[in-house]
Amino acid sequence: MNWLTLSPIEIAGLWAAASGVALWFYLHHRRPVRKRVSTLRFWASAESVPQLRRRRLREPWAFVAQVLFLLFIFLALADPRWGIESESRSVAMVLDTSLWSQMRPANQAPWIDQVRQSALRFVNALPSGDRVLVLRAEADAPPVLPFTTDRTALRAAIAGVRPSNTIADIPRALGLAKSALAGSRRGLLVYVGPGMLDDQQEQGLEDFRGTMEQSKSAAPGSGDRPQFLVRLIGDQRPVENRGITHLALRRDAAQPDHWHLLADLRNYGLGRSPVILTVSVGDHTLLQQAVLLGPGESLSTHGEFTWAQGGLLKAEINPPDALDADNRAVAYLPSFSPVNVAVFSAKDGLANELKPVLSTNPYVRAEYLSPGSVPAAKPDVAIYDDATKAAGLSSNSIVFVKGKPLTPPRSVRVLGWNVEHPVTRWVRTRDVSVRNPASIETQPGDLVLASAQGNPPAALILAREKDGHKQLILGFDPRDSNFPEQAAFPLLMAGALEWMTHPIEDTSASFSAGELDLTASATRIVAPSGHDVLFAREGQDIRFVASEIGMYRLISGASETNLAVNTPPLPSQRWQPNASEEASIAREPFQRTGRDLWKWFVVLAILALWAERWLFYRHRKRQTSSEERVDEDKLRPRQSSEKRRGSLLHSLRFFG
Amino acid sequence: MSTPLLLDREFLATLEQVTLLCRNDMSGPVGADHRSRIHGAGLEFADYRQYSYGDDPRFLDWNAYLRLDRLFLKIYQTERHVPVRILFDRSASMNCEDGTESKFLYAQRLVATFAYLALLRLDTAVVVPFADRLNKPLSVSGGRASFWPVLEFLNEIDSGGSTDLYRSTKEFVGNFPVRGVVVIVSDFFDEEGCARAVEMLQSAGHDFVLLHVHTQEEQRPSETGDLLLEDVETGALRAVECSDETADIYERRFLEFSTRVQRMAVRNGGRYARAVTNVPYQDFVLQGLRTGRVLE
Repeated sequence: MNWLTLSPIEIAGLWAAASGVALWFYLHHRRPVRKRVSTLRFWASAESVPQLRRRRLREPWAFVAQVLFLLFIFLALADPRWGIESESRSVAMVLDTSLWSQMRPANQAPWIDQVRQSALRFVNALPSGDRVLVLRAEADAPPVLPFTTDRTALRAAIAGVRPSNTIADIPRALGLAKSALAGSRRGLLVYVGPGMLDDQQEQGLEDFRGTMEQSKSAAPGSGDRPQFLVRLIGDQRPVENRGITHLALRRDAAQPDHWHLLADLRNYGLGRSPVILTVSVGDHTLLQQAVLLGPGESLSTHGEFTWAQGGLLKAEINPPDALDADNRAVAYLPSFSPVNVAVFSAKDGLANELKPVLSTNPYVRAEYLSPGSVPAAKPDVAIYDDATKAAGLSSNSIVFVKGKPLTPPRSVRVLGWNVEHPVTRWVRTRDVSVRNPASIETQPGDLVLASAQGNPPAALILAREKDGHKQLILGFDPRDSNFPEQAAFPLLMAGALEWMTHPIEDTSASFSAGELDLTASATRIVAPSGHDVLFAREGQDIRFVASEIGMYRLISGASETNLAVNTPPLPSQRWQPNASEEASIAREPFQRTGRDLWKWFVVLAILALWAERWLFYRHRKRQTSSEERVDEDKLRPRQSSEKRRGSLLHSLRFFG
Repeated sequence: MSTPLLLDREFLATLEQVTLLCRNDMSGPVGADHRSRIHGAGLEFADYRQYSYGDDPRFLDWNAYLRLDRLFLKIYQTERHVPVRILFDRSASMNCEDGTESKFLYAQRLVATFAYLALLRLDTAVVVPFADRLNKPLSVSGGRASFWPVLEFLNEIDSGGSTDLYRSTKEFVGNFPVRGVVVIVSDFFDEEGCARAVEMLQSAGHDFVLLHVHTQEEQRPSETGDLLLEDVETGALRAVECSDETADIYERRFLEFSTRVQRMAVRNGGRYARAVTNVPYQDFVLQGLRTGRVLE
């Protein structure tokens, strides 16, 4: 029987409210109808009303009995017990609403509905006093509902669970549930779900079973022996499902708008399964491949396509199956835009040194011009070999400043490379030496990327950001150094161009739903559904749980990074529960020792109700009879006096 | 002023055939239609007796003398004037009904009926309103032609005040010492009772009739539930719970009361009739009062 299990405060509140209503009825519902009569002498039940406005209880004892009746009723509803109250059982229920619960097998109810129904059946089978905690089986998922005996809230919480896009960590969730039961003497741990495990989880589950057995054998009779039950949903047949488990893209090194695709597919079923992999951006199909997946086979498939515009790339396998979530995957395809570089140099000057460097970079379109010429297209970066001509230009620029010749001529080693800066982060060499270094005047905000050996060392390479433009000032002539012969020179030039324009994205990877740990900067993370995602930052790393599938946006100031999140490889081994795990709920050990009092309160309530009725009508009857008696008394002397007077007059008349 | 008291013509015509009964020992001026035990000049033969010296020789029965050779005197019943005084209760209790036929109006019609009957017999009709004391009366005589002032007088009477039957009767006996027919139209809801008033009328030698007028609601209350009753005369309030059981008790007591009043009237030589307002007053006059030996 499911009682309301009210708290003392709730009982007092309800009792007070009901008593107030009863008092109102006692005071008001018997408001008499006023009527003018010619005489009051014949009314049997009469009562003087000295003051009309004042209301008083006419049957106070009946009202007291009514109030007692209400009290006993509410006490009975509260289901109090006489005895130890700590005998109620704590139940931790692990609901597996992971990605597998999205399964919609043919001719069966969706697995999430089966999970809900199985959980509700289990809750209905529990005694009303058991406290139930509901947990999700996914990693780091918060509890669905804390320990409660409120069955209404419990059923609502179970009915409200939604399937997630992450995989379950069943041993970890069971461990958490067992920890939650550690403080209670009686416990029950139940798992409700499809029971899909991978090898690691299977091993973890065996360890968990071992710890459960140890707790039983270590302290028999101590009470710390939670019963462990498993309620699996679905049938035990292998699932027929195919899915994309991973998607990756790599830009071709020689052709930046050409991409290499790597897609991992898996067949979770036991039959051979032909699928067609389709890759598209928007409505444009980029790639279509037929793949034959063997039973339980994981297969990596490669493909190539050319696409310069970028966008959201979708990969999909057909025909669809019972689990729709892993039939598609997404990735962000960055667009390709080459960097226009204009080199202003005198004939046979700097251009000869830069041509080998710039021509090998497929992302650069270089134009070599004489000083003062106008480039065909507005350059993203301009390179000068004359500081005077570079001054005042309104674009990103690299300027080589030639110093005065030293006497006697000598070489100066370049030291102190700033590895933190994007321009020189790849430069580590100590073999670079220059002749005739220029003396560069530093300005506030300038960053020294390298210095000429000396005491003190003189700034030789400066990074400057001014008026929204970036400048790299090198205080030497490449022809007066061995730098062009070093491998660090093209790295420095590539770093400078990337720093001044945009980074080169040559890969595009997708991540699996679940807990993500990334090296990225973000002040805000927006999920595919548009909701903000809570995340933790630790140094350069950010950590968050990606519970949705799709494109996440990592926002950091004005910049924004897209992050594709797809379904992870799913665990595919079914849990094989043993007999004790499939047993029914143990009832005997958990019987409460307290004695039910609600029956007695019901009896008392009936007695109080009877007493109220008896007192009410006894009062009315007594009042009626007393007034009847009073009326008789009033009439009797009048009759006798009339008789007496009549007799006297007759006597007088007789004698007269 | 409108005259709701107007008795319909058919009823008035019916009253031509009705006679107000009174005791035949009433004294009064000769000339009306009331027969009396007093023998004398009259039209109706009563008896014979032997002639004695001094008797009026006009009443000698000469035919009997021729047959029997003895003088016999014919005796006739004398018809005398008997004043009819109608005490009309105008207290507040007579007019407290809501929506039902007014007891006050019913009583007014009865008063008018008795006045008309008196005027028909050439008697003097005196209408005396009273409540806690006697009010100014109206005395009319001279036949039915004097009936209209009676109606006007009754129309001008308003209800109000408490009932003091004894005091009113005492004043009445003082003001009208000559014996006659006294009709009291009242509900007799006097807290002091009506015994002393009746005894006073009886001792004054009046031939009295108690007309007890009440409504059906006063005999048995129809409303049930909690009632807050207000006495229209005293203003006293009483909260009662009226149920079928209570109504039974109430009715029993009311009937006991009316029986007591009836016994009191009969014991003191008077007559009693009970009029319920739901009975048409014509029926009550022509049937109820005949049954009660008030009319003939």
